[in-house]
Amino acid sequence: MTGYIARAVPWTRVALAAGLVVVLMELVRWNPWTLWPLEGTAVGLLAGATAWCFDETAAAVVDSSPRGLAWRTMARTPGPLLLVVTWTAVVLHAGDETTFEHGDQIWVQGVAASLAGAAYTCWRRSCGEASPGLMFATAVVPATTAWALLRPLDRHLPVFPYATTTSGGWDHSATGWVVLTIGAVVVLGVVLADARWWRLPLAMQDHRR
Amino acid sequence: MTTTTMNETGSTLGVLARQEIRNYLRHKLFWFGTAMTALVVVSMFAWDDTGSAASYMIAPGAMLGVLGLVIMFGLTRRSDRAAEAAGAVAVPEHTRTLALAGAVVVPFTAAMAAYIAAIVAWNARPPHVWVVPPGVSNLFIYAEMFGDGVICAVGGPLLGLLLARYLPKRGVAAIASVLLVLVTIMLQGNFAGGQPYRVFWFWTYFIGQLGWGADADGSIHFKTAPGNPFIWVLYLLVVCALGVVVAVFHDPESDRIRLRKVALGLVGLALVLGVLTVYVGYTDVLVNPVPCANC
Repeated sequence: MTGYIARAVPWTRVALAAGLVVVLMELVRWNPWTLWPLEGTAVGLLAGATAWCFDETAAAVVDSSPRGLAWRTMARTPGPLLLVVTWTAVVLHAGDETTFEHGDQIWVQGVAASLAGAAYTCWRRSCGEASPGLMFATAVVPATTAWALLRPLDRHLPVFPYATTTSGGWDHSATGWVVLTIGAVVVLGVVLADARWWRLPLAMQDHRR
Repeated sequence: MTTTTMNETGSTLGVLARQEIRNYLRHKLFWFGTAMTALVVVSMFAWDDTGSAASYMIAPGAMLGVLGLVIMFGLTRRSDRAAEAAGAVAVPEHTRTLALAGAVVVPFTAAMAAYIAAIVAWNARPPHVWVVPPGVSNLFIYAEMFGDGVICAVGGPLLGLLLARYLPKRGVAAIASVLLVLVTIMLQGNFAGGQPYRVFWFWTYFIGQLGWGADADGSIHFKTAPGNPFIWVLYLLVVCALGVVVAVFHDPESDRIRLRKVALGLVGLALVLGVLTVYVGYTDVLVNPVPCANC
């Protein structure tokens, strides 16, 4: 498995993403009031980079091999794990003053984003798509970045709450991220269990298109 | 004979440009960005504080510009794949590049609609007395809004086109969007002195509740950041034109000698306009003496 991990995980991209996450959060730590949107950018980057780890460019060959999706997904987890460890370290290092005393909620955002990226990619991989992670990252990273800059609907839907967001807003946001985490874990569980009843309707839907 | 060839090229370009416009219009990210921009327009009229229109053009800048970078990168890669599949008889790369550049009419139109809405909001819901410093006209605000919103909505896709031509690697668009925002957020004019050099970047503020400190009594004042937004708009237009020329220059079959001359001319013009933006007109920080009541 070690050889597979070394070759299958896009380590250069993972290292680049982890490095960018550190830079982004260190800038936030330097001036959280001005540079806070970079926190949302970092969360989006975690989602995109995690999704990327599960792409299989040689899907046509690999999908017919005896090793199942669950085995290959497990083998690739060191990549996302490195990203989550990096995220944990930077959030801890940022401290309460930087995170407006919501460090735990900020940490959940990153973990939820990573899980969501993994869940989406594994789901699409189970349907036979080769590189859904790249497509996911290409859409999600800039979209979360733009959302974090703009924070539309912040009063009603605070995705990346800020210092001025009410405590109720922070709670709503945390609830949303926890729901996303649970949803992602459920999808991952179902997909990796190789439940054919789940794949079949989706594959038929794709076929009809 | 030459006229016939030119007409054929022109007709091919027209057909391809229309196709790329349709492709741009079909892109889900474009509609996501447009919906978010529309949402912010509604909030500007409905519940945001008056005067928010001055900083509002971040919406088309981010949602049409940053997302446009990714959209155009994808469209260019798709165009290249189609050309490779078509083989040697395919349309030359420079014609496809120009057709792709023509597709920026889509984000431009959406951003123009948002810009007009912002001007209406600025006049229909005039800003509080503490927002605009004395000596700053409405035209100053309109110029800033045009540069930050409309030109950036066009510039983002053109940057995506350039990246796809010179760095056609997996994930470049996503990483580039992060780096673009990273640099932009550092050059908003939010640090001490208003960073006069920031006007050489694609996006910045010229007025706002710029955060380089409160007065001794704790009051915060709206102020301008140094730089002339009128010349800055011209600078951005030249940079956009330069982007198109450099993208076309990538094709070895293009008229590279002429393009090199044009590119060098545009670089020179951009430098002159950038320097003029710093040194002509609004070189000082203008402070509104009325302290902000809700900062």
